[in-house]
Amino acid sequence: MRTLLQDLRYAGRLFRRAPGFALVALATLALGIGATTGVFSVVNGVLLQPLPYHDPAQLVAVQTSRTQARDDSMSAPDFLDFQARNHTLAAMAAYREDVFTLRARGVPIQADGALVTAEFFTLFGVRPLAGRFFGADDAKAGRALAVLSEGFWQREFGGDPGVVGRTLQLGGASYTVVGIAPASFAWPQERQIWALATRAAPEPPIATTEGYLTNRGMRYLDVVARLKPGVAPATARADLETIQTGLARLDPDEEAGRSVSVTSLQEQLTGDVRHVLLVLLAAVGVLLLIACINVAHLLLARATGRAREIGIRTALGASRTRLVRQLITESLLLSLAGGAAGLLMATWITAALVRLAPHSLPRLTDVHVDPRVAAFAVLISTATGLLFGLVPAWQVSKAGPSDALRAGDTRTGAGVASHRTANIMIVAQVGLSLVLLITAGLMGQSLLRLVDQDPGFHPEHVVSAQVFLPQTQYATAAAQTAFYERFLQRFASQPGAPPIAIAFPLPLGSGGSARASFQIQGQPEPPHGTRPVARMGIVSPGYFRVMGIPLQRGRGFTDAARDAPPRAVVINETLARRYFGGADPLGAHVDLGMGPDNGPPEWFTVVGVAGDVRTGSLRAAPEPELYLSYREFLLPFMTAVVRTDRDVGAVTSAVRTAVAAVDPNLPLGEVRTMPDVIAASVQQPRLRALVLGSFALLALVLATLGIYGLVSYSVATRTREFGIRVALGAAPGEIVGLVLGLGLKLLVAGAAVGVAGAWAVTRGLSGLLYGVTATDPLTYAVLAALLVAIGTVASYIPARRATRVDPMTALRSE
Amino acid sequence: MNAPAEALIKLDGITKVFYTDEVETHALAGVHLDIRKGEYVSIAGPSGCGKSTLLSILGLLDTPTDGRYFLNGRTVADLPPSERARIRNREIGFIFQSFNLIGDLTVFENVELPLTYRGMKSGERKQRVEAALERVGMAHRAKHLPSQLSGGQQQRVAVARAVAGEPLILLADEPTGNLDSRSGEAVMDLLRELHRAGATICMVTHDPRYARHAERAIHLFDGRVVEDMEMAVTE
Repeated sequence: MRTLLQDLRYAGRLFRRAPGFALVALATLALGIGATTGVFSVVNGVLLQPLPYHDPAQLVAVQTSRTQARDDSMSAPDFLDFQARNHTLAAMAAYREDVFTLRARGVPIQADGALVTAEFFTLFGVRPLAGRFFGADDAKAGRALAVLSEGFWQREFGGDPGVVGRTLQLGGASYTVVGIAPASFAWPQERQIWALATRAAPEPPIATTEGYLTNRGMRYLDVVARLKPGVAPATARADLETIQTGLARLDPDEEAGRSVSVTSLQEQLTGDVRHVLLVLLAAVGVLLLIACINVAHLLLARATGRAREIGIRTALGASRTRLVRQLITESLLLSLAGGAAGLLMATWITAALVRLAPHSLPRLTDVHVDPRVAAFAVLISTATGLLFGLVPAWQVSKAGPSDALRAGDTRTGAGVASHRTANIMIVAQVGLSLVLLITAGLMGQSLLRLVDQDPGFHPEHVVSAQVFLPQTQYATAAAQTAFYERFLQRFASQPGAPPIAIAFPLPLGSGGSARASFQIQGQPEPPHGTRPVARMGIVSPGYFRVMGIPLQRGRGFTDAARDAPPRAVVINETLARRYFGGADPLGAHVDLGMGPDNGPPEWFTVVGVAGDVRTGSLRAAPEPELYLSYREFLLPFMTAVVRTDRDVGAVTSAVRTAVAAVDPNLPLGEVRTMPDVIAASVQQPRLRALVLGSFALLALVLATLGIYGLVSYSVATRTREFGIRVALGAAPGEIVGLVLGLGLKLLVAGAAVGVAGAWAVTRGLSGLLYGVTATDPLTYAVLAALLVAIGTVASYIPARRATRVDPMTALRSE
Repeated sequence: MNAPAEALIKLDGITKVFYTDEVETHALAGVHLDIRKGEYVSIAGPSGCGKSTLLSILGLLDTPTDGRYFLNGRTVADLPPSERARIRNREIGFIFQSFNLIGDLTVFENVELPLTYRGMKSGERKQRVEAALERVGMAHRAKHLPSQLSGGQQQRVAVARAVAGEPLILLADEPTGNLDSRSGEAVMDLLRELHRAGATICMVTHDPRYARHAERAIHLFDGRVVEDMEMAVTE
């Protein structure tokens, strides 16, 4: 212990004596450890922390889906059957996300909420912050109850405890607030109000004349469940599959071919981002490794300079282990100090990452620097201390005392070995940096190609505003249609009103999507359940003009066409090409399955072919899409789009005025320009490119410093050699060439390692790339050349210094 | 011994002043010196008298503060670095006290180095290196590294390197300073043989035993030539 303290004291003294070295090493380590810890804090919060619910490992999401089908929501009767007949689930609850309108502080507002079944909160096992949650008795009694989120309660009601027990008008219906959910409860994500379904299952989002409790084709519910103790998800899945088989016999049209999946809730929540986060963690790990190599190199250079001291210690009887221990103590002291600074830096990096992260990233509220993150920082600090300290310590302690004591005379065996080790480290550093650079380059290119992608419409000067209707108040399709008609009229009647339309879904928006299966008249009827499926857009007349979507053929919807049979449908180019081949689609008749079951088809006439729009994402190729007039089919979640040169504030005001003129209690939802909508749709790739780009830039800086340091070190230790060469007639250019050659040799070797490494690593990133292959030769070549060029410039500075070596001083240095 | 010929080196009032902070040190204070082709000159003097500075200036490793320096009839005091390097490479051969071989290069490569800088073709380089090594009796060690040789052997390699390029003059700075007396004698014998074969040699030494090998002795004191005398050469 005493010797350890002695080593620590000595290490501290050494760092005080060489503050420049200590500062550079500390900054490098703080950067590496800080960035790694920052990214780890996100991984920890999102992926590693168990969900903040009772026994979260037993919580699962239950879904049923057909192969290749995109919708895995469940129908109400399916949910009720699974709930009643399973043997493996302790509880099962269904919910549907919804938007509630209410008045708070005197103004109408919109709140994201969910309609849930009675078992919902009990299943999660959370305690209310105030009041209580729902129970089976409430459902049986048909009580209209609501629970508020802590954040919503604080923001809209100032945390007034008197809210519990108060009645709120949610979409025109009365709900009694019975409790406040703690901030830690966030299922589904970002909900502010949970309302109890007044029947056995939440009602569907669209007005329907059919009984939703018996209609298996109406799939709109999400289902969560708690496994019975000791039951594994696979067991539960087998149990539910048995029930599903029974349902398929009962209703083959709707249930045949569907399979059940039982996924842990954590996986369900974070599955989509796991890959990305692990890629970022790996990338920052590489950055840390590069930082370690830099510090190791600094230590090696410094330790080689201390060879005489080491020789004296050895001559005085210090064993190799003792010497290694002393040098490791120094590196550990350095790494722990760097770790402390890194932890501080990690709090900033974490905050920046949370700020930059898309809202769709789950569990962002769980991301912070907590004790586990701090422990991680200590762990990697210790590990890095050992990593970058061990090699130089081993290397230096290898020299015999006589070699060390003669250090400076000639290049000793240990000196040569140190050079070799340093060279290997630089090659590794350059290689790792290139892997990061190439990864970031590919991501950056993907992003550029993504934002360059033609969305199929002209987003400039288009403002969107959500105008959602509460179903409780607008219960029928007729009421909903009447609202939107009057709203459009009121808006248009304002002086100088710009063109307006309404649509669902908003292209590249995050408000969901609709799909419909269809059958073209005159084409062979496919087997049941295998009809082609297309995206469905519901729009008002003028939509294509407002959005700048070209009509390639025919026309769009007009007011004049209202109610004039046959009903009109507009299809996109992809649908026309894929399903009509070379035939003219105009005038063709299409059945969208909107008529009653087993009834005759209801034919729609193709009146126009619109240009393809990337509705879901810029990434995905346009899918077959068909558009219906909002008067034919309506969802109460329409978004108004306005093409205008006026500023967003003026448009918002005009839309709000029109809404208020029709329904003064109806709030206006989110207002965004279309360029903003597009930017939000690429937020995740943008963040990926930004973070990886930052890491790559840091790596480049560290590698450049590494090359500069190595070449400088080499020049410093070879002063005498350069003196000899100058004395023998080497011209300055030859000395520069010699030094540059050393740097270049290492750079080229490192680049080769980097290209091979990137070749192997980036294949795993194919899923994250767009418009560029993981092995794009141009990216590889340009970035490798860039790295070599920057490294050569970094080598040039010490190379110039080498030409200024005074040969006589160098030759006399003994 | 060759008959003295015309002046190969002519120094005319060479001074060298070193400035450190506010202190001026006059290392050389108006040195006038002629060295003729084929001469074997020794430069002696107490420590700090300017011997090494003089040798640096003679070898174009340093520039004089004042004065004129003619090498082979051409003024060389104010040449640009690249031209100085060219002259060093082609017309001057150095032999240092501490051998100054490059540790990472083999004996052969060390001797070859100045010829490489000259841009000589590899066949000719090989021939010259082999001849030089043969001349100093080190041909059998061509593939060895300097660290595998004794001090005396290393200095013989250094001599081979100095003569391989067939320079106009050999400048030797205490060539025996790091050697035992036996090895020192061997190196001096080697220099004498080179001189007999026509080489011009200028050697700094403070060892009177070795100074006697030269045919002319120059004594420096406080940066000035205080004695310049022809000597009877001891065999």
